[in-house]
Amino acid sequence: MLKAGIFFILVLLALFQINVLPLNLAFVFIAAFFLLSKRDFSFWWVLIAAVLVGLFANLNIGLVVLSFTATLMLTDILSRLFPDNRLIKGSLLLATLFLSEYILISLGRFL
Amino acid sequence: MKSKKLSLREFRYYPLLFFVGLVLFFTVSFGWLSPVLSFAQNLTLPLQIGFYRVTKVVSNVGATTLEIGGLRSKNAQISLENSLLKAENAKLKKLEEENISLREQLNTPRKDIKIKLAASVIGNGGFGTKKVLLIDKGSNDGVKNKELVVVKDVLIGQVINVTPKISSVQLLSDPDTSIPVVTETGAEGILEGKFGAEINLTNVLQSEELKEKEMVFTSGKNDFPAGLVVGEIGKVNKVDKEFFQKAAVTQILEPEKLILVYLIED
Repeated sequence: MLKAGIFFILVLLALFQINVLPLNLAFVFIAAFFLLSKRDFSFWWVLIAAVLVGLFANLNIGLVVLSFTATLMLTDILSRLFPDNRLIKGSLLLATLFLSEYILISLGRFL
Repeated sequence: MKSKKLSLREFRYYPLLFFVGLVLFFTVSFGWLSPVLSFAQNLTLPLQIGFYRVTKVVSNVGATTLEIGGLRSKNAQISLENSLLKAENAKLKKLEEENISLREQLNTPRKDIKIKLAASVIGNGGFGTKKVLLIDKGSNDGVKNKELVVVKDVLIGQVINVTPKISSVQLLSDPDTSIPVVTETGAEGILEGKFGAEINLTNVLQSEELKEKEMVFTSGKNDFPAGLVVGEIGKVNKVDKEFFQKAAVTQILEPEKLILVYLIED
């Protein structure tokens, strides 16, 4: 319950910041949650977060789901490879910022 | 450094998410999800407008607090500019009268811009280098791709993505922007967005003269109507060895501060 509460606060913050900062920070907020919450996320949580971000940023929802999943997957794999290193985990969150943008633009052009 | 053996079971959601993403991408692209999107946007629009307004209030309060020291000198400067504008306005009125009289004599129809509909700004939906403004009108209101968005005679941008209730407007500062323009003195060039909020006037022949504070208008080429204001010239960059010269262009209106914009008819 607490985890769900934190998750929705982060999604709300992410949606709010779309008006102020680049969209990829929204990805960081949500990716941070998944990476810091021992990674036991639900399929629906990711889907809901991506759909909301897509709706708020007026982007193709499918594209956001795809890039969001790709971003999460890459950061997830790397964080599992280095499970106890906080520095790497922190760096990964920063990397998400650039990764999400790159994936979103690349997918948008490719598809 | 400790490493953990990766188990496929831990990644079971990803293939499913990719599959759902692909299905959603194609269904949205082909417009099959328009009714669902329209319904969803009906629900999210009020929240989005609320977010946008709160953002504006917060940034206004922040900016006012920071600028309070310089307000007095700014006020004096605005008074001076106001007086100058009054004088210029009087001059323009006279010129307009002359213009009307000339048009009547030459029998050329006046090509006024026809406003199609007004739209409220509901957010800045850019990601990465994209500079986009979101408006609360979409395909349900008759908005189409490539339509131009203005405030009076000032060009704000062009519609690039239309969904049932929301449209994205590509701003002039977007790196994909490329508009044929002409200056007051007749120098032709291309207006291009740069990374950040910068706009440049490029491809201007060295033989042309560019002056700071000179107004820049759309030239009427590439399906853009002529005479829309895009900004005024800032710093001119003229290097004799180069074939073209360029200049920075400052927008008259800050798109991020707009509340209401207008779509014009093709």
